Amino acid sequence: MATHSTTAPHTGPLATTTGLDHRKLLMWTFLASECLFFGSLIATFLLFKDASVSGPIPQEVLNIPVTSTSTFVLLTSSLSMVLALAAIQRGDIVSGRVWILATAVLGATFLGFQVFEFKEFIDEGLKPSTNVFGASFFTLTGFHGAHVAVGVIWLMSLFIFSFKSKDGIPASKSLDVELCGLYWHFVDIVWVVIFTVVYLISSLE
Amino acid sequence: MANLKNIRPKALLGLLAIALLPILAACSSTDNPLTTISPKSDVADDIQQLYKIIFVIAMVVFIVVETLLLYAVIKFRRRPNDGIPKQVHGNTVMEITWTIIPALILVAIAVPTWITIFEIDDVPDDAYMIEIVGHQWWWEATYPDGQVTANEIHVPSDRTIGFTLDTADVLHSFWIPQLFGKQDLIPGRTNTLWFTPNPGTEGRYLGQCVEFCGASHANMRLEMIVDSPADFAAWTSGLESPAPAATALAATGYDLFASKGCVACHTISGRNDAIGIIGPNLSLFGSRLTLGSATLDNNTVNLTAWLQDPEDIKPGNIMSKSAPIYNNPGLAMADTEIDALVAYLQSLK
Amino acid sequence: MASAVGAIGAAGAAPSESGVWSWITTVDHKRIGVLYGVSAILFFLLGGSEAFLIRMQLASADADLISSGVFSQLFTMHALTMVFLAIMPLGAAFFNFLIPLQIGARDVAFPRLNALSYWLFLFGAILLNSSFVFGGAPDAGWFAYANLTSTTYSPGDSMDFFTLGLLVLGVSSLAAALNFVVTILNMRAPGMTLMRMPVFTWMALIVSFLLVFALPILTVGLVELLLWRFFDMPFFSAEFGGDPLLWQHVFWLFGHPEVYILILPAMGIVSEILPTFSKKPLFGYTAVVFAGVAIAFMGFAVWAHHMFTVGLGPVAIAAFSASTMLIAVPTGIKIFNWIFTLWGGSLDLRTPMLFSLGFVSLFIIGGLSGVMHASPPLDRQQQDTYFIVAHLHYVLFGGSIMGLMAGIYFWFPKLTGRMMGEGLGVIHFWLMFIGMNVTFGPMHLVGIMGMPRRIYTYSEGSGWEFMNQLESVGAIILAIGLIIFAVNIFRSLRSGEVAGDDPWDARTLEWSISSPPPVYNFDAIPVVYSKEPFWDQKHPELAHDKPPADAVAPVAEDPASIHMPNPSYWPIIVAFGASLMAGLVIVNPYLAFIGGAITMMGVYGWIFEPAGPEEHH
Ligand code: HEA
Ligand code: HEA
Ligand code: HEC
Ligand code: CUA
Ligand SMILES: [Cu+2]
Repeated sequence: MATHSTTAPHTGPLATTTGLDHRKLLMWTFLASECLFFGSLIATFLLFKDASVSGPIPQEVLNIPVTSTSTFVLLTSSLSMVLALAAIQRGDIVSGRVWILATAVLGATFLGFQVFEFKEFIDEGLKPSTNVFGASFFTLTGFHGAHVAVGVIWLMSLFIFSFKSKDGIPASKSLDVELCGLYWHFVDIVWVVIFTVVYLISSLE
Repeated sequence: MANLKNIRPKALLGLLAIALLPILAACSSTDNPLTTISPKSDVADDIQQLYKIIFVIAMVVFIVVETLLLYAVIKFRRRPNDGIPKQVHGNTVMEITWTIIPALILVAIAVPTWITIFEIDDVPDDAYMIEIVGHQWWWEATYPDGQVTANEIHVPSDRTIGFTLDTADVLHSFWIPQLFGKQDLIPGRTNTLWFTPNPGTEGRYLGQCVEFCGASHANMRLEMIVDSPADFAAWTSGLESPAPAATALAATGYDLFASKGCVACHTISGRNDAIGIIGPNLSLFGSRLTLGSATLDNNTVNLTAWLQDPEDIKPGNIMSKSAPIYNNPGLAMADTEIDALVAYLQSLK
Repeated sequence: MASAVGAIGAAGAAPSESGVWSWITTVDHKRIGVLYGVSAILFFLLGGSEAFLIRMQLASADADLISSGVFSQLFTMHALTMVFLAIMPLGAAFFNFLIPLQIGARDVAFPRLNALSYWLFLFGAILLNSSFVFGGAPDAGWFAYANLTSTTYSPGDSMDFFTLGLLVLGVSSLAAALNFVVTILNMRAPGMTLMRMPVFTWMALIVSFLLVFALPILTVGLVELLLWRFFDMPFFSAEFGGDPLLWQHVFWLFGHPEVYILILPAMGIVSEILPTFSKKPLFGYTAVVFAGVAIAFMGFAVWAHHMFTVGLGPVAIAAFSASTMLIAVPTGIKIFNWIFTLWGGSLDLRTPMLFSLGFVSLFIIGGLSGVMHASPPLDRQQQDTYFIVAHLHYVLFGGSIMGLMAGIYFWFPKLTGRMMGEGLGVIHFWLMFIGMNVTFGPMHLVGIMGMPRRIYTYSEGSGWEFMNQLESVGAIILAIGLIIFAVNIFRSLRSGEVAGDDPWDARTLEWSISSPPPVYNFDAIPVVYSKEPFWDQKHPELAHDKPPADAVAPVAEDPASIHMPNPSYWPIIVAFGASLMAGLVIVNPYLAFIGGAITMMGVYGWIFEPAGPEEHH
């Protein structure tokens, strides 16, 4: 938006009042909203984790080693996301593509772990409708998984469309990747909270 | 808008006049069985006391602020040669004043509120505890000695009464305005409530379910009957040893009560075939003053109407939905059979 | 990459100035505002008609006009319609139309997202109301307490329409709120610092943040309700360890901020109108703004005042009682600042001013009854009686609706270039003011006399007959008033007096441009030096903050060179797909993928469509 702000008393030559790009501010605000979304789901889980009238209870099904591995995978993907953005900002087309793909693959691996975990739980007799622990667990981690899935689709879209032009994603468009990165890091951080609250604390008790 | 000055106070006065009459009327509990401002117990008195304080404060604030507003509107109305008024932007002292004064007023509301909250909270240890269970759309009461009744709950006037509140299905709320404020019945938790009748308050008190609970929520009332200790003792012992059916018609009704399937859902003490618990306990039904959880007077006409078509009186109720006599035309009751059942039920005194 | 698929977008979005297609594809904030406004007024009349039927049934004891089942649908849909389909979208209409004009911008930050919000709202509203045709509307009350909403006690689809309809509406409001936050924070004219923003824009910003934080909570509640009903996940089933009270906590944790979402736009409107018609600046601008912020913050800490009778324990209810009462302080600050805005002014009692004064006088009544049931012992006698119904209508009708009506009369000339008829307007005001008091005033009394809410019938001898009759007469007065309002709108559109740019001698930027405004709003983006730039420009001698001596007037651009965003049909496609997805869930969750596919297609089409100025900086 051309605001011709040269005559402005105090804003500089920036196109927006705050200096932040519109889309970035949008993403930040959206993520603030997501905090409340996951916060409510986590609160439900905390309310219910020990309230089930019949098993299985958390300690019986949670598999900390497996989930620690998948957590590690997801955290690694945050690193590759950072590398992807850095590469694109310095105009390194190939590394940009590689790191984006790597992030997507790591995300997909995490989802694979989650599918495996869900299947294990169901085999051990914990379905979403079995008890309130199951209901709140599957809802919370399921919605997180859905967020990861959206992130993977987003990353894959970026990856595929980077081939539309031989320049890949130019540095001038690095915001497209940065937004995806903001989202991706957020989903990661939420997972750290979930891992702590759902897995570590619940299995310690 | 020159006429503003005339219209507005007039309209307000008119409203006030309309408003005052019923306020006076609302105090009378005979014309307003559910009135909230005619307390007949210690707990209700406490609430009333607090209500008076807060009502007066609210009225004063109301009058002061609305007068200020009305005065400003009338005083500063635009006149023909008004220039541009002085451009005032604010005043810090005034801002602080109208932050602090309301805050102080609120403290004056909050402190007695807190005191009352704790005063009416815990059930005293010596209370006579009655278990209340809410059903769609009727009330069940179980006494400490195991007697069970429904919808018309007798209590003795000489002691503190406590209730435990549970529900068999959805949320309900237990409320008898002249005796105590409401408390909700919630699946999975047991709430409590208590009151002590004021001396000399023997009589009938209307109550009502006040949490929306489905189609017949409006028809989920109840009556609490505060008895003198002697009457109460007589009533409870009557629950245990009901009189046998006296007339021939009532005897026919006695049999029909079994053959028409009523026994599947209703209990009548003294009959071992009638032990159903889906519907209200009908022991001593003949001595009840009301019918259909206090929605109708208990007389021959109303009882006949109820048995003919319960759906018409309480939409959606389980008796009309599930009793075979109402949903299987082959089993429908003849008028004579209904008369017999009425006679039988009325003989349960 | 944009150019590769640019052809698609360009082909479908050939700009046309009028006709249905131009409205369907519009991304102009002013037109979207009109769409919101017109739909909201229609839904208001629908919700009002539902209320009218309620009042007819309750006009006499033991009435037989409406069956219990239909009555439950009526009061549930009346409230849902008024709250989610009338007041919230009317607020959105004002936000859309006014925010860019007040902050000196040419559009909102994301014009297509804005269109998406509107279409989602419309389709969500249709989905919710279609339940009337498909086997019965929601009938568990607007806050739909569990476990009455379970498949046992609410078999059939009605509660699924509730859940899915509200989910769609929630997404719509969230998208709109995000858009407004970015627009207000990021697109202010040079010099318009936060503390120079018009109060209406401030309230819009606060409401948007409230939505951003409150809606996800409702979403979680609705999702749990959905999973409970469709997949037996026992969130609210006490027998499986679930808790029906969880729903109440979640709903009111959303619901109480929601009531401030409903009132703050009206407060913003009134804060613009009172100064204009008093010819004085708003008294205590800073205090009014921060009171708004404080109300929003505190709004999240009071939800349990709707749950004083569920048995939370004395300590909890004492705490929630205190936090609730505390909200009266910032609200009082606003009231007193408004009164002292009038003080010493030159009050022109035209219709917008009448409605604003009506707002202030009636909202005080509603606020004071609010403080009364903030006291838990009193609330034990008042909750779920008509005393609460009186409270909520004094704040919502006397407050929100009166304020929004004031806004309609005030900005109608800016929107259409024509004045609303003053004569009919004054009649409309008095009918509404009197009708409102006759309808809802007696509810206080009948509530004190113990009349419960949500009852379809009451008995002779309850002592409530006369008051109820009076209330129903009030509803008739209101209906006549609203018919006059409708007539006034139509007459003014056709033959209203031509308004000119600044008919009220107003104070903020939107009045500095023509009526109706050009598509691009401002040919020269204004430079702002004070809180009331337009007034100060008209009266430099009175100005508080004066432009520096070397200030250069902004240069007007050639309208032909101003690029506005292209129209687009992708928003309506995405909205349609998403709403279809929600609707199909009711039929069969697996069918919902059809809607999902349409949505995905829409999203990709959208991404590759050149959006116009939004994309080039
Ligand atoms: C616009 C919407 C709106 C607004 C602004 C408010 C404002 C307030 N509300 Fe209300 N409320 C509703 C909409 C709203 N409410 C609705 C819809 C319901 C019912 C929901 C349902 O059950 O269906 C409800 C229900 C409701 C309840 C639950 C009642 C029950 O179900 O038992 C309570 C209890 O505390 C309450 C309190 C308050 C308070 C204290 C305020 C305060 O914010 C009011 C503050 C304002 C003033 C006090 C007036 C001005 C101040 C002064 C002039 C200063 C001096 C004053 C003093 C010192 C007192 N409200
Ligand atoms: C935003 C809020 C809003 C608004 C504006 C209104 C407006 C009105 N409301 Fe409502 N109301 C609520 C929000 C609102 N209400 C809520 C939240 C509840 C609680 C619901 C619950 O318990 O779940 C409620 C409940 C409620 C009840 C209690 C129902 C019950 O508990 O059983 C009643 C009863 O009288 C009522 C009446 C009215 C009336 C008469 C109007 C009038 O102001 C309406 C005036 C409008 C018109 C009359 C329409 C005009 C129409 C035309 C001009 C077209 C021509 C049509 C005709 C002539 C019929 N409302
Ligand atoms: C399917 C179970 C069922 C059967 C069978 C049944 N009832 Fe009922 N009955 C109920 C329920 C439930 C209620 C309470 C209805 C309500 O108030 O919502 C009730 C209420 C009543 C009442 C009113 C009680 C009161 O306290 O006001 C009477 C009287 C009554 N039934 C008599 C009968 C008779 C006589 C029969 C047989 C002809 C019968 N019932 C068969 C379930 C049943
Ligand atoms: Cu039981 Cu309402
Ligand atoms: Cu509230």
